[in-house]
Amino acid sequence: MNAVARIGDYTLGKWGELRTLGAVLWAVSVTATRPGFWKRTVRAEIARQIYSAGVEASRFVAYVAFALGVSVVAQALAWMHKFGQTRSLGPVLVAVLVRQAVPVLTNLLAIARNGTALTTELGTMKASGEVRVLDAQGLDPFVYLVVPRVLGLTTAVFCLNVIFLVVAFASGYVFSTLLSPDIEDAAAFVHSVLVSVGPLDLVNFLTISLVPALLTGAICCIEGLAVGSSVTEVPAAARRALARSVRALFLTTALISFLTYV
Amino acid sequence: MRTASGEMKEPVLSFAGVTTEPDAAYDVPIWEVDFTLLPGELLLVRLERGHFRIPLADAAVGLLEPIRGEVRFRGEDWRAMSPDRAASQRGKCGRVFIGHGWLGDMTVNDNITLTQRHHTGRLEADIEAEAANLARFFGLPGLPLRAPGQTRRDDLGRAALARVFLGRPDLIILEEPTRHIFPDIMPPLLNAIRAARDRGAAVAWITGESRIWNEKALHAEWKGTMFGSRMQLSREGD
Repeated sequence: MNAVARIGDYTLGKWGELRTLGAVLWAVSVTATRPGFWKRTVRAEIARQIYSAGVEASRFVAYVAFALGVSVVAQALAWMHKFGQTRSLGPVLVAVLVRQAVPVLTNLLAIARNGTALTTELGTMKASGEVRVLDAQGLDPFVYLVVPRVLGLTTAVFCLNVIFLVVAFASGYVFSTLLSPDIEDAAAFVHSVLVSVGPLDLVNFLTISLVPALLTGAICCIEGLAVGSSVTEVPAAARRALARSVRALFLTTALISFLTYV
Repeated sequence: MRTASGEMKEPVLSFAGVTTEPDAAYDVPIWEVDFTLLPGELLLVRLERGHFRIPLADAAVGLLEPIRGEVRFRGEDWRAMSPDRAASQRGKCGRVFIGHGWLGDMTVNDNITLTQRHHTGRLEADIEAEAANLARFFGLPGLPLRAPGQTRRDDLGRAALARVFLGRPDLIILEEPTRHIFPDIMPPLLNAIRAARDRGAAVAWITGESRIWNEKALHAEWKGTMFGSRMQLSREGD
């Protein structure tokens, strides 16, 4: 195969992946808006996903947020205070944490912790015939497995983003008061952060929190259900899902930031 | 379709010239299979020696699309149904799977009641009570509360039967239902089948065992013997 054919083949392959991803996301949104979708088994599955991807991950995310708060927020607070720039502290923190760092980091943690697990779970179910068992009993695998996982992961990631922000700011502030005793009081700190958050920041935070999580959920489900009849295919599927989710995360984050602020 | 008594009945399941593609998931495909199961009828299919998996059950519930012919459930071709309709109709079919027919991440109890919880609005307590009765009927002390991987295989065999009869399905497909539990299971199983047929369910029993094939108490209306991919069908009493 010559170089041009390879490029063409690669491009068509990627275009096919993109179309599948788009189709799955469209089908998820259409399915989720149908009243008949919200059966008790599906609701239970969504709750299980939120618990597994959100509640169980919250301690880990809080730990990372605490560490980030201490290392980044505390440093910024202390140095800006030293240079008498505490008034611009809010905008700086909002720009660094709210707009970019926290959503990206939380999504990365979700991909590493939940995305891989999700692909492995679905891949193993597919290889062991469990997906067929569901289908044979009239539980559509798309409705019972894919949609709850995509919605559950997205909801969980959004909640984890909020937890991350609160813990990072709180830990950063507490640690900075230890570094620099004459730092502004808590109310002034909260006020300076809140007034720095504009409507565009909120839109950006919401979109960067939700869109990559939706993509991660869909990608991991697609890769998991693409596994054939052998469990040896599962690790490769998990690796592909990880790589594609990370690529999608950074691409969408850059695109959303560009569209929101430029 | 008119029965022997002259009464008009809609077939529960009909295969018309059904041929499937060769697939690694099955030992053989099926070729030109024809039969019609009316409410209350039982089809007993004997597999050829060395064959365990044939696509008959998957085709019967519309999971496998034939390359020729059509499979109708309650008069509707599976291919003509929307995905939602097909899923809902599959909810009316009970099945004992030839392989491992359990979801590993939930308890056997939840596995048994899953279909009813999904397809009906019945109270969970009612479903659990019916499932527990069936479990006891098939010789279990109650509903198994452990994961399938932690449950003994004969208990899983009994639980599979409790799952099949839960919710009074229209079509019952039994793929080697007595494996690991023969002959103890025969009296309750035959009673459950008789009761299901009396209320209008059709039954397809797929087996490779001669002792089941020769079991007179089954009262099968139809007997089909697989020769490779072809099924030779005979009506009992003819």
